[in-house]
Amino acid sequence: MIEYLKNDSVYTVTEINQYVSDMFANDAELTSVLVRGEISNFTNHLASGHFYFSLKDAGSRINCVMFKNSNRLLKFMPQNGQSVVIKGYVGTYIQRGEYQLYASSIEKEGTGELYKKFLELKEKFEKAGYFDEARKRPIPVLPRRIGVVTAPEGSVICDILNILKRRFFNMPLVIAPAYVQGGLAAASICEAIARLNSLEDVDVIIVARGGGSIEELWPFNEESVAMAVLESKKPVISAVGHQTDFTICDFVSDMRAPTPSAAAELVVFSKDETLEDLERMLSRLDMAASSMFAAASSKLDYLGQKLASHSPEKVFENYRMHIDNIEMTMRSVMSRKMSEASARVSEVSPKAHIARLRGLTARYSERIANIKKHIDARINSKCESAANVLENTWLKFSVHDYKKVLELGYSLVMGAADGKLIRTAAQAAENEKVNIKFSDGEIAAVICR
Amino acid sequence: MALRKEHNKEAADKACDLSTLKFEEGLKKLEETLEALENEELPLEESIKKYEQGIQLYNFCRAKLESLEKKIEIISKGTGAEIELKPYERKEIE
Repeated sequence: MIEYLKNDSVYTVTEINQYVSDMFANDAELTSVLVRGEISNFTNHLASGHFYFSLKDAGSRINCVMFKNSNRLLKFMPQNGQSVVIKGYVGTYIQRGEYQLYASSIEKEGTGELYKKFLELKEKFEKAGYFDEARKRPIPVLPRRIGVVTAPEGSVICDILNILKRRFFNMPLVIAPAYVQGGLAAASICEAIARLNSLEDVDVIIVARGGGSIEELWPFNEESVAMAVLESKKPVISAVGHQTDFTICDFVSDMRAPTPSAAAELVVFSKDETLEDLERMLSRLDMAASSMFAAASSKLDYLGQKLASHSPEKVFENYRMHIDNIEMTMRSVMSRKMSEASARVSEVSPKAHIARLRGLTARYSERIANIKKHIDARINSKCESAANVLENTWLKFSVHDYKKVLELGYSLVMGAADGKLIRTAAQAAENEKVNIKFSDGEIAAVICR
Repeated sequence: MALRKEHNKEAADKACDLSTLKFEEGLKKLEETLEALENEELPLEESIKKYEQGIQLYNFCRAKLESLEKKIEIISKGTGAEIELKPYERKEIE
């Protein structure tokens, strides 16, 4: 071919394309390459079964082809806009004078070898139960001190400190500096976790790193780091990368925060809000207490009043009031009676009264005079009849005078001792001294039988 | 019922021992105390006890919030007992 070129300096199209094609084929670098880029203009040629597309990045693009015998091994259908890494070789398409990337395999970005390793470790740990919710320790509500494993010069620590400042300005924090990417990172992260564990008052550890590629975040997928997190005596919050990045460290930690800032928000509550809550509770306490005391004291007042109403003074007072009442009633009754009486009195005029009294007097005098006359008459008649009776009686009586009998010659015998009349012979005892009365005198005698 | 009472009593006794109490426990107990004071028909004496307990817990919680001393440090070297700390300063944190 070289001889041919020497003889004639004019090339055919085919010749020059062939020449370039040979150059590509002879370049060791181009026979096996990995190219990262974004898929565009993807065409799945149905007739041939080959894939045709472009791979591009911000500054350039390259045509790609993936033949049927390669693409049938793919576990996914490439799509426009997908970030991928393509393994293949760069060759020329002589017919069109174009070079292109001949893809033998396509991997989605992040699903490379590292991703496979990640998945393997994840599966292993998952089986070991390292991700179990039951293993996870509670994050203290109010840590005495927060420990942070991160790069001391990065923006991550600034984000965390700014949030702490806003939410809980006096929260103490200690930084355990660590490399967060590269070969030394895993060991230094492990050491930082161990150091924070040796500080007694550190109650929670945040392992933090900003966003990055899977390679950059890789230390947080290392088994040694995962074990350090698992073995930490203090609860660990993992805040590695962005919301969409997941690492083994996230899974084994006690809590995953989507970002370092979010970790800071999770680890401390808002002090101002909590103080407000506390103040609200204090005023509720006071209110509950004061209403309780008010109720109790009003009840006490009521009972006190009730008790006072039964005190001796009160009882006495009640009696006095009762008596006063009676007195007042009496007074009012009396005064009513008096006024009624005086009303009656005033109905009668003194003159008429006197006249009436005079009339009464005259009438009674007359009656008395009549009665007197009547009595006098009665007395007189009684006296006359009494005198007659007396005379008659006297006459009758004088007939029976024993002295007259004695004058006729009769005598009376009487016991000398007792003066009793001896009416019969039997009454006279032998030798009894007797007196015999005659009209002209008495003589003593002795009974002799 | 009797068992629950016993439990409450135990909890109340525990609330008085503030030295070992955690902040969140204090806060929870304060809420419980308040709840009891507001919603339960308690004898006066017990209410007074609850109120005093509440005030104690309030003071405890406040003290816990204020007792933390603002201190940002960085481990400079060493491990375990030999660990050395020094103040950490960054211009970015105003």
